[in-house]
Amino acid sequence: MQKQELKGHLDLILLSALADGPAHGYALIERLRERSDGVLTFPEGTVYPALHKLERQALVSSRWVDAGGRRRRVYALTRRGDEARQTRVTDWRTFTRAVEAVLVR
Amino acid sequence: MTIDVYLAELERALPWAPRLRRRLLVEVEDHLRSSAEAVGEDEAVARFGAPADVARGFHPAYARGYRAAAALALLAALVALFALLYPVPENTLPAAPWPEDAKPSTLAWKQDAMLLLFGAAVALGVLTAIVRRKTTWLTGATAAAIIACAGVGAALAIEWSAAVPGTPWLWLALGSAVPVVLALAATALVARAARLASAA
Repeated sequence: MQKQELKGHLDLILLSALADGPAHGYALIERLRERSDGVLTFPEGTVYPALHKLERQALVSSRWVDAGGRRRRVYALTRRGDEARQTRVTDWRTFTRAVEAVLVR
Repeated sequence: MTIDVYLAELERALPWAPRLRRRLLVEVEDHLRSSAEAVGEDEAVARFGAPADVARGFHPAYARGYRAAAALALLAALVALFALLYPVPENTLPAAPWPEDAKPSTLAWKQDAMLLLFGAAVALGVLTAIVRRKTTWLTGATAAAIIACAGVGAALAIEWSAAVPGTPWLWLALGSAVPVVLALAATALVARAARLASAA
């Protein structure tokens, strides 16, 4: 998938991936890769500015954990983040249904 | 490219902000080492993206931090200026040898000018905080008013010491440098934030 197409939806994609449970950046990317059968691929470094932005908006929270001697930042969806995710998923479904209806006509 | 070389390049590409930079580097290192366990160092680094591109992704966050630091510097400059206007002279200057209504005009107009410039600096500072647009220009204008006020203050301190022996003019003049330095720092930070935001 094109980078630009993904960029506009990265927030929703990350919020949805975090709905499965807390994860660090690399695990989130692995989760996305598996769930999309490898379609959702992008420079992995782009995930971190997006995660930091979501944290600033209080849609995700984060904390340090020890991972075999390495410090690891683990992100989790907040209640506000889950509400935002549900709203955006509804909006996304409405949008894709409308586009699909136009395309198949 | 090895992970260590990549991290060194990323560190160089990230703007200065020790706390955020440290957090990013720890996060990125953990990511790269986790990824390298699965695909090797070269592939892990390639998948992460060029250091300059990754750093650019964080420019908006840095710009926000710089703007916040600039706001604090401006506030501190205004507080320092207020101290030079009232509590410091009130508590450190010896009593003037003239009645209150017979102050030499060359000193009186400088005091009035200081008050006027201080008022302008406060008004511009409040405007900068409220408007949130043209921030670079408004911060520059606030800083200019602060610097002008401090400059008049320094001149006033020197003249006052000639008229009133025992005035610690050197300390007052040096004290005037504090708001000037803070105002210049605020301007530089806001200008840097604007450059980062436009390059994001």
